[in-house]
Amino acid sequence: MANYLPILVFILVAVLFLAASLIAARLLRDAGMGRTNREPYECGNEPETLALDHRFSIRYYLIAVLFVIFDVETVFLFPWAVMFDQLALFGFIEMMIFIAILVVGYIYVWKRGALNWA
Amino acid sequence: MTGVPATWYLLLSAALFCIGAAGALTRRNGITIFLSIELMLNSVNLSIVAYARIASASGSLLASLDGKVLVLFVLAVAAAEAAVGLALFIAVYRNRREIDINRLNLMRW
Amino acid sequence: MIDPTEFWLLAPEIFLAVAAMLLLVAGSIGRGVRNRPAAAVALLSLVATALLVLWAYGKGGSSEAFLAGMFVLDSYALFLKLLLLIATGLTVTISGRFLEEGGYRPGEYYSLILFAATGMLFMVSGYSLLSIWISLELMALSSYILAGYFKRERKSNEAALKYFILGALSSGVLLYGISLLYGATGTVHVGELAARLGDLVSTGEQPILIAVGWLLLAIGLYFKVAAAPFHVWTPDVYVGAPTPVTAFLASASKIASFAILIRILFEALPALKADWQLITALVACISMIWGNLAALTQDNVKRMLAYSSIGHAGYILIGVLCASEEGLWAVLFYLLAYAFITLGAFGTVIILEQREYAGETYSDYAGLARRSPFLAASMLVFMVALTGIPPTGGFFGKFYLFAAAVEAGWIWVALVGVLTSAISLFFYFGIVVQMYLKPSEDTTPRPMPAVGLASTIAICAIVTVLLGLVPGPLVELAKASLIPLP
Repeated sequence: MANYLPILVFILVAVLFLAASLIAARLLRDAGMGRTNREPYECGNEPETLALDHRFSIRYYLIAVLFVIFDVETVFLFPWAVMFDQLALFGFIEMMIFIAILVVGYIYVWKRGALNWA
Repeated sequence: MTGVPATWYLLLSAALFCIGAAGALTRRNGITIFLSIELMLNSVNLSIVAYARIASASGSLLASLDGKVLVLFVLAVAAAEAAVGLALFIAVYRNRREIDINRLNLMRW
Repeated sequence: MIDPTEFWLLAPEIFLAVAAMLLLVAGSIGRGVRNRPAAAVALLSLVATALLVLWAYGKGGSSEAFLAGMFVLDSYALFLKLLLLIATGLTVTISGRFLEEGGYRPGEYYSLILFAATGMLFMVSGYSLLSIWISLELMALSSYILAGYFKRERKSNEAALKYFILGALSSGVLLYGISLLYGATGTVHVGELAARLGDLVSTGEQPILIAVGWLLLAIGLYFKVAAAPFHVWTPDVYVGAPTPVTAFLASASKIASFAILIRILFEALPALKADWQLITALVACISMIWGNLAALTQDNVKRMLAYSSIGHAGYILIGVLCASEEGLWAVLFYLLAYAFITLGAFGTVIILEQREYAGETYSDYAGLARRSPFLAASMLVFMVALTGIPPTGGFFGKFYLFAAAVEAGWIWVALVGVLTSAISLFFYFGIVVQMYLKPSEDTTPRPMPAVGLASTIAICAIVTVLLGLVPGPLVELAKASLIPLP
């Protein structure tokens, strides 16, 4: 059972952190539950429609898709970072090539204007 | 080895794979189909990780490494596949305003 | 540790990937690149890659796996790589008209073609289930986007989505098969996999894992080569995709998929030879029967060619299931002949097509012999070759395949092949009858098609006939490009 001790500690820390932040929020926040509280949250902007008949801009999806790709590619950075000492220069060059390929994708996305919001 | 036996992971992975395959074949909403396919890929990941654990428990480090590397690549490819799939769904939606698979019938299915 | 000098053997793939990336970036800056310069760059890159393939083979071609056992550069890979580059090059030359008329950006189109070709080159060199699977995905993902490249056309949308859903599904099945085989043997390296499977099969261990594993893996591969009953995606994708892309899928994509099917069956699963021979025989027969019967009822030429391609997957599988030298070189011969025939046939379809997918039905070919003798004559050659009548490459292709089957004792499969070929005469010659015997309402001569397109069709027709007149050299070449038999 000793294997599970770190997991237990992890769960405890998670619960404590959550509880602490919720309690802190309760202590700090304004007591009133006004109309604005029940409105859909849009990053501080005044919502123009109700949540259900509001259609999100297709750009949200585009950005999300781009994020997913670049985000998941970092999975290869972790094992590389752990083994960095042993992989030495060869590993460093390989990773630079890998990142350069990602940059090519980034340049493409940027130049095609997929990152422009307007 | 302590903890959950490795075979349980394999059974879970097989169950998830079947759920994913069933979902992909029977659902009509494109996004749900897509989610089912992702479930299939992730169930494969689970089974590979379980096999890698069996291999490392039996002392074959090299064999377990093969599987771990495979999992990383499956993750990355699944993300790329997700991006392509969602982009295609967006393209279809822009033209048709819906993604119900049964109504994609310009050509016989 | 990996020896960095081994990367030289992958110089062609690396070069092609870099070319594709440059084209991608060039196509994204400002208004992008025009069709002709983009096509020229793509073609030149393919030629340079072909030279690099020859150079790399001369430098270190052998049946030894390199880069930690990930890849191999044997004569089989050499033959298929050159064939794939030719098929990709011909695809580039027939793509121009579509891009110009549709107003789609050519830079990205050609870069996707090159990315797909990069994946294919890696596929035929792959010697680990890992490297094979990733390169397969590179090809597949590029193909999904290419199928939907005409994003304002609903049919193109629909084709891409169907292709994607079924492709991803098959990819999942294939991967689950890989994971089970990995679980049974503890390796994904093709050579080691074969050795350990041999041990396991002889001692009778892990029978269920191995059986389910190889079957799922094989089903994924049958799907990729569009063999029935795993063909449901084929007709719709072939009809809905832009025709140059259809030609690419039917030629290059099919060749690469067959290449890995053979590599995996022969080199990774020799211990299960009896099992996969039987299953492949069944799949081959269903493909030949279903593909040819369904093609009989079509009135759209693209759709007919799609079903015909399913049937031809069946013919090629005959050579695979023989698991003999004759069968293997017959497959290589047929893949080459079929690539030229298909690209030529789809090239002709491109010329006759008009906007909104008009000009694709049989009746649109009426009286073509009067309006454009050149087009009618080339289409005649391709239809004769697809049926398998001399003097064309299609005849010798089928002849070698059936002969190999008879020699290996699969007479009933060869019989199904001969009978279905006879059926195919009806729908292939339906077009010929339209072109030469039916009068057309419109008798004005057609303008000569663009030079690139016309010369591609001419090349394909000439090669098809040449293969029928002097098949010898190609047979010798194919015989020198075999892999170890199971």
